Amino acid sequence: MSQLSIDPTRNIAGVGVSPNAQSRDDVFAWKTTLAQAAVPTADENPTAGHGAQPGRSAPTTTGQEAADNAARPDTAIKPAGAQGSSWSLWIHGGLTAGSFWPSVVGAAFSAADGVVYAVEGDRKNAVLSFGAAGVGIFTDAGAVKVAALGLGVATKLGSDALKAGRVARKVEKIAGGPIFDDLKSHALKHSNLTPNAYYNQAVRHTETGQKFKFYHDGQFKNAFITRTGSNSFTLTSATPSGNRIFTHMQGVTREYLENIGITLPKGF
Amino acid sequence: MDDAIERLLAQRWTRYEEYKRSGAAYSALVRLGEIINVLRHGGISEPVGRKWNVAARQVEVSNEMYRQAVAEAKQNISRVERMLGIGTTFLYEELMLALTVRVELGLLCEFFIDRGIALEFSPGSFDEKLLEVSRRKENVVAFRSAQAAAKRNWGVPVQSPWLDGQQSTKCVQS
Repeated sequence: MSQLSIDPTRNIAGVGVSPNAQSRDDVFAWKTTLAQAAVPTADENPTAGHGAQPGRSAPTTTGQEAADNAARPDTAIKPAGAQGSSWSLWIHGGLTAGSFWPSVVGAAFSAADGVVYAVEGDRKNAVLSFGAAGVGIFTDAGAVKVAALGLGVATKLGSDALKAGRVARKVEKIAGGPIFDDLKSHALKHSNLTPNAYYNQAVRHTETGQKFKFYHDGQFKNAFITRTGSNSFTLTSATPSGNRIFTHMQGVTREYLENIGITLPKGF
Repeated sequence: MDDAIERLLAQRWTRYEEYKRSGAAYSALVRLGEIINVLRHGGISEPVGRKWNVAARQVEVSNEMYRQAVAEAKQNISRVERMLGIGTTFLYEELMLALTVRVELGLLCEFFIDRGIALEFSPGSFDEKLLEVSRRKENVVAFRSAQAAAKRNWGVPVQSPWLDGQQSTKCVQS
């Protein structure tokens, strides 16, 4: 019997990366950058420029650069309300209106708007206007800016909603339950759950699953088993005393259970 | 001898039919792979061998069943690769899972090759990882126990280098 030849183009699904996907990512990254520039977030410190937040991926500015920016009055972000005088509002209003002209004309208005913002020290709006001008050469700069602002708002709202969801889904570990050595690793290996949720699932399964005994290497263990499909079962293995869980796995087969020494009764 | 083997083959055939009926395509085709494996390596007498050869080889595999079985095989490969990729020490239960899936993949390969069906998956990287894990000092005892238990409990006397301690990255034993 010959060994199988492996066709790399027909291997496991999901391994290959389409060149189109890469370019879409680039577009998305660009849009996100624009959006971030457009909408200040609560995390930003107005006195420190684009400060790098601990625990967050730094976008385009390093901590040292942030400190440098903060030290330069012309690039530091001013608090809201300090940016606009009445003549400035009229200028920006006019230039923004002009930026809605198609193609190069609108782009020129947008670029001019960017220059005024830069002079005023409003770096975010300057970046946004220059970005819109660049793209607007081929399209409508005003629309690009509005779209970027809209995307920024949507991103901010989405991010807040996600944070809220995460808080709502945070699971407390069942108190006083059995020991589960290397819990994080087992949660990662055998589930998509957080360690606490995985732990709770395993503990509950020791209460709801049908108990069997198996033996290996001089050790007796309890196996808690529930059928989940025509040939699919959930298994939790634990000490006979129940004070320690070894592992918890979903989607094991009848043949696997037989291999570890568990024969399911008829009709299970 | 023949009676005992034939009874085991009949049990496997019953399981094949149950799994096929319930839509568990991968499990169904692996059972046929077991029958073909035993017929090839089991030293079965001519009349019994002929009877089961005809039965196993006359089974029609629909495109849908093939697609489902391959999808599940890929899922199993991904699952075990993910498991083996986290940490270095593995429990008996985990190594048994990897071993069972690996032997089953070999049996599925054997069935497909026997039927001249082109395969769309390969256990290549899975094998390398499992070999590496099984040779680590902290896993040797559990892995050998899993091998011995799987060989003892498989239900039919399948031949697989993974059960005989001669782990091979070939899809099917030579």
